[in-house]
Amino acid sequence: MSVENAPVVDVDEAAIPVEKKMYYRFESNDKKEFRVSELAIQQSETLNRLVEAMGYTSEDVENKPAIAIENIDGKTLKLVFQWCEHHKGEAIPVDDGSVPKIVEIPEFDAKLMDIDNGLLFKLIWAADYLNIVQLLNVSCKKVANMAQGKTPAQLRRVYLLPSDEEDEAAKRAAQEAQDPRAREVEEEFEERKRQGGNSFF
Amino acid sequence: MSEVFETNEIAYRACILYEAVRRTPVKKAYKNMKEVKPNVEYWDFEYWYYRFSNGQHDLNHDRSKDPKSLGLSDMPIDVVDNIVGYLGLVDKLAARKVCRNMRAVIDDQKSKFGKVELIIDGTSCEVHFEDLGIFHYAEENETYSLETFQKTVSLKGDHSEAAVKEFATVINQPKWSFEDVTIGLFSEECYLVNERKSILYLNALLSNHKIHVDRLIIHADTMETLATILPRFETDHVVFQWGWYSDDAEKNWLEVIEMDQWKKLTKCELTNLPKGFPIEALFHVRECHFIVINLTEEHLLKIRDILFTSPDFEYFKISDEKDCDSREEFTVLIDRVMGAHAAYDPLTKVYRIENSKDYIQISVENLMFYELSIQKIRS
Repeated sequence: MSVENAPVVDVDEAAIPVEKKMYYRFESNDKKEFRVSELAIQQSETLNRLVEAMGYTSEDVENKPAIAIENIDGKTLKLVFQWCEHHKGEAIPVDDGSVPKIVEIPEFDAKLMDIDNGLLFKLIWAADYLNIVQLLNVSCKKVANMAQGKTPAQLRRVYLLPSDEEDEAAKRAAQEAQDPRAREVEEEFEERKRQGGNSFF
Repeated sequence: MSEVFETNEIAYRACILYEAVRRTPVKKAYKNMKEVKPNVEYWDFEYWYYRFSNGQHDLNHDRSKDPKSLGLSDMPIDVVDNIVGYLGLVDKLAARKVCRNMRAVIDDQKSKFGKVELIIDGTSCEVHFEDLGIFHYAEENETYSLETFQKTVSLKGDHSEAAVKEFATVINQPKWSFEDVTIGLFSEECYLVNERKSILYLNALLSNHKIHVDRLIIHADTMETLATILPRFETDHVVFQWGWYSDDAEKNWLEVIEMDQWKKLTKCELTNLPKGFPIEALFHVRECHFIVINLTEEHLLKIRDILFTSPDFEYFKISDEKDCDSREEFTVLIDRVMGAHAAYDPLTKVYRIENSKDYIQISVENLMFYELSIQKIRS
């Protein structure tokens, strides 16, 4: 089990006997462990509520098992926590409902999201699941930027979206998988229609 | 450029590997690749670039065996809604054509866009959706050519009907609103029939809900166009540039000034105010600019006695296109009408408002023609 992103405490900070900073331990679904500061966790509404509800002491954090985040892998979680640490203490934006939205992607975020589309969508999914509003905003903006000037066919490929026909075919295939006779019945029906019959039976 | 990159997939991938290992930024690397393989697809390039960047250097990898990547269709609906919220009008229009699920999310989102325009001019029609121009040119044998920056195609049908339909599809979206909607019907007198046909066709295509727009701009040859189209919009600012050809102007402007949409206007710009138009029908607006051929004493009396008492009025600019030499000196006329009340000082051209510290500043400019500006100055 590896520990990613171990906190770096600078000397001056360590020397001051003020309130000790809390670092929580989280574990991804592929057993990667992360230590994340309390302030960084506040960027995630989901995790913040979770740690508040758990009421861990500093000792609990060390002695109890890491908090498992079961549906996010280590690669994605690393990006999430890097983002949270970088933006810790920043105000969480409130959506005013205006469309088109105005969001700037800071340089750090742009570099963090210089990743393939598959990982970018995982990051978005994680940001949504963990309710990290600004990470969700910037990652969604990045995906939206990918649409600029694209044709519908190009968009289908960028976003891995099926066309209506492909979607229909997939639905039919799923239906047939459940009821193998469905296609047979449909073909028989089409054939009878071609022959001019009004009633199937 | 070298054909090897077109025919040999491994050579192509090796080039990407080189860029990825050298950590060339993805956009620069793609630009370099495009120089030697012009038809390279970005999404394919990006796949290999990031795969190699992540240390997976196998040039013979079969990507069909990859686990399925997450795509937009795997995202929760609120995420798709968030992404779509960053798209401008042109990208939304392209994304609407991707699939019905995408269309449903886009159409369900309340959005405000910039300018949309429909310009019908004889044998050519233009539709502008923000930066995107779509041009329709009439051709022989009931065909037309459709041009965008991406393509030019020849299609069956009437060019103006196609343009009107394209425009209506966008402004009809119930949850969309716009900063500016422009409908321009430029034609010669003999084309009035065409203007009527186009505007009636547009009117028939618009759905029953009101189209929300900050400013509605109409260029037309007849008042009938404004009378037909205004009820379809919810706006507080109308610009109407009107021609001189209509012989039924009076019937149509009477219809227009009775409309609720007209009474709700706070800003209004009219060129060529029709003869006999009751000027007081403009006095409910806050700001107004209009052009007349001859601003008469009767007009000025109404301005003094009705407009000056309106609580909403802020600024009126009136351009009088009558030849300056062939009439009574304009400022003399104004001083005579306004000076009938003690509230007016002809030296400063200030008209004081009774029981108020606010006053009205009148100014006249004599350029090509007279321009009368009337502004309420608040204390």
